[in-house]
Amino acid sequence: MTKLVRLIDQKRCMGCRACISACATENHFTPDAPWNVMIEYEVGTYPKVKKIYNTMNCMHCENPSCKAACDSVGAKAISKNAFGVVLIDYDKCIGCGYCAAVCPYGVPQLNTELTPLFPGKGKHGAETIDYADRHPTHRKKAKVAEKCTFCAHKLDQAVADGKVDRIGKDQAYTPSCDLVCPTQARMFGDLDDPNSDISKRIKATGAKQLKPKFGNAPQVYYVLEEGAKS
Amino acid sequence: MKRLTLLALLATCLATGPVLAADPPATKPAASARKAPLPSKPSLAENGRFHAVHKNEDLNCSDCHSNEDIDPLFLRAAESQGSKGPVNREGCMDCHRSPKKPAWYVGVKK
Repeated sequence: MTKLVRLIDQKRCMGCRACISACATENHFTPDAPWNVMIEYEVGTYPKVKKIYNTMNCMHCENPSCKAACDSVGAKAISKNAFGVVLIDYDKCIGCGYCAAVCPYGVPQLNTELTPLFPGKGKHGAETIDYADRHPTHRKKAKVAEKCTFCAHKLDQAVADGKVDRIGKDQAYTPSCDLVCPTQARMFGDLDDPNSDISKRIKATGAKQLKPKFGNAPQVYYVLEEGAKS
Repeated sequence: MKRLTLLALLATCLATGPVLAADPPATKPAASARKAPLPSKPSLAENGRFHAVHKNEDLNCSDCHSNEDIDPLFLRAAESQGSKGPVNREGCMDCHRSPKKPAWYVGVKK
């Protein structure tokens, strides 16, 4: 089995937002429905204060609340694939917003309006591909829920090319946000492989999942900065 | 004759006493008035099903949308950080832990 997970090291993150920019270009997310956001907050007491940078995208939970809610209303637009990636089918989504309401991480967002990535400045990134030729996760629609897909188009390409073992290693098969981090605060790979870099680093750093009390078992791990909330 | 009249009066008092002493008959419980009919279509709109369900559980707006204890790790699109509105999901779990309720938070053990 392959269980894809992400590691985010808050101790390395400097809040540059390169990951967010890369995701916006790669996946053409709109301001209404960001797939990746940076949350900043301060901890400590003056004069010993510190700023925490916490980049958040979909946690691709093993027990996704969003899927439970979607199934309960009968839409069944949310699925979890063999890699553990949670995906939304835009054609099945009825835009009720229940997934956004129940996610303990506030991840899914309703895309109220389709807007260009850079209005008035031509097409960029995913926008340059004809609609019919795009990966299903890039065939955007207004008034449906959206969220991070772990760059599912790249993972599908790895499967098509028979290079699943190169996920997290080759540029073509690794999520864009994880590629561009200048401080190497992000890592992506197979947790089921005990010899993978990410398995070793999670074990070495004692990385944690956020909000474990909710029981969703996220597939994103964080190396928490001292004082950071989990 | 006088005795007969007294007996008749006593019988009347015994027969009607419990009726007169009892509280006025309770009207039909106000549940139907208090509980709004649930829209069938799932929707997060203020008058949609999601909010109707929770209003029927006697939740007030401020029970969920209070400005206290805003969780910094909760994303809100199109809202600046620190704005009002985020709902602390820990409160949701008070009800949704029960297996009889919709299991949004699957796998959670008491």
